[in-house]
Amino acid sequence: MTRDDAGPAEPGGATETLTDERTALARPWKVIVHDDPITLMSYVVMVFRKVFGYAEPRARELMMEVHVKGRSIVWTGAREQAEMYAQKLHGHQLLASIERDAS
Amino acid sequence: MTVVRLRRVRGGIAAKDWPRWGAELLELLVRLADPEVTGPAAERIYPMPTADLAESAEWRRNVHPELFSLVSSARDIVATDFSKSDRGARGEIRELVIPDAHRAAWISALQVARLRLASEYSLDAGTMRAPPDELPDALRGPVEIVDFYGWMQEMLLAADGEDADGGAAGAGEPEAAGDAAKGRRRKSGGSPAGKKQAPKQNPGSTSPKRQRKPSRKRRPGRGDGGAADPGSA
Repeated sequence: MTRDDAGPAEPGGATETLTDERTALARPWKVIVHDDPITLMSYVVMVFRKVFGYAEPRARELMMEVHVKGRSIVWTGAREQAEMYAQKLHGHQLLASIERDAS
Repeated sequence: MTVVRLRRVRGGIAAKDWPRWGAELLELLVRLADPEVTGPAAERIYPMPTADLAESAEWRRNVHPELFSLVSSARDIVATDFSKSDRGARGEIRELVIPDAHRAAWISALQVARLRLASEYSLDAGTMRAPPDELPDALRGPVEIVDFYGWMQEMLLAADGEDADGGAAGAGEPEAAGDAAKGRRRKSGGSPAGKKQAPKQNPGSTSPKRQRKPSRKRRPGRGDGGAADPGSA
């Protein structure tokens, strides 16, 4: 779908559309973990370490963000990997969602 | 006052001399950790990563069977360990060993059980923080059991930390599992780690009822300050 070397713009605004699509594809996906009142803090830290390989301080920092703000973006990157991480987080019964970065 | 404890033994964590109610809570754990759940508990234990309907359908088709399998596997391990426990004539546990290799499964099963109870009884942050005297009667039992399972999770997670840090787990003299967290408890003024005054439940039911005044002050994970202490996230 890329038209980097497509030459002159086509009539009807096609170039603008394709540019938007390229931008959208380039936008990374976010893995978001949401707060729940039941899950132990220590459990969340363990899961972050296990799933992402984060060091203890980073895992704890993200856990506290979930706890205080209600959610935390715990990873950003390609969609397939975001889905894989969400699946792993769900495998530990954490509330995780994925969404495309809006910026 | 009856207290139960988890202790480090060679190759695992052991529950020794638990009274009958402790055994009943573990029987209940096996039932609550069943992968077959419906209603709000199913939505919580098998969540969706997005609100998109098409993607959710695909997720349900491709991912949920794997999650089901994980939950099922953890439950089976817990059930097997429990079935191997040395039981007394009155139903008490003389000894139950959770092998180190099974600790993750127990932690996972406890997580499922806690979430299931919370979903089925609509336990929210306010409920979980409320003093026991302010809780409706119908919620006291479930909240205490969620807390009891949380205490077990905490003990097993602390034992994980011992392993990760190259500590006492699996080597040297047997040591109390709770020792890894003892300092944290003392800082927060809580109970000695590794011990737990457990809630009572309605035997054989998934709708447990507390039979005596709860002991929130002794329960790990309530009102404990500091990042190292359990709480919600």
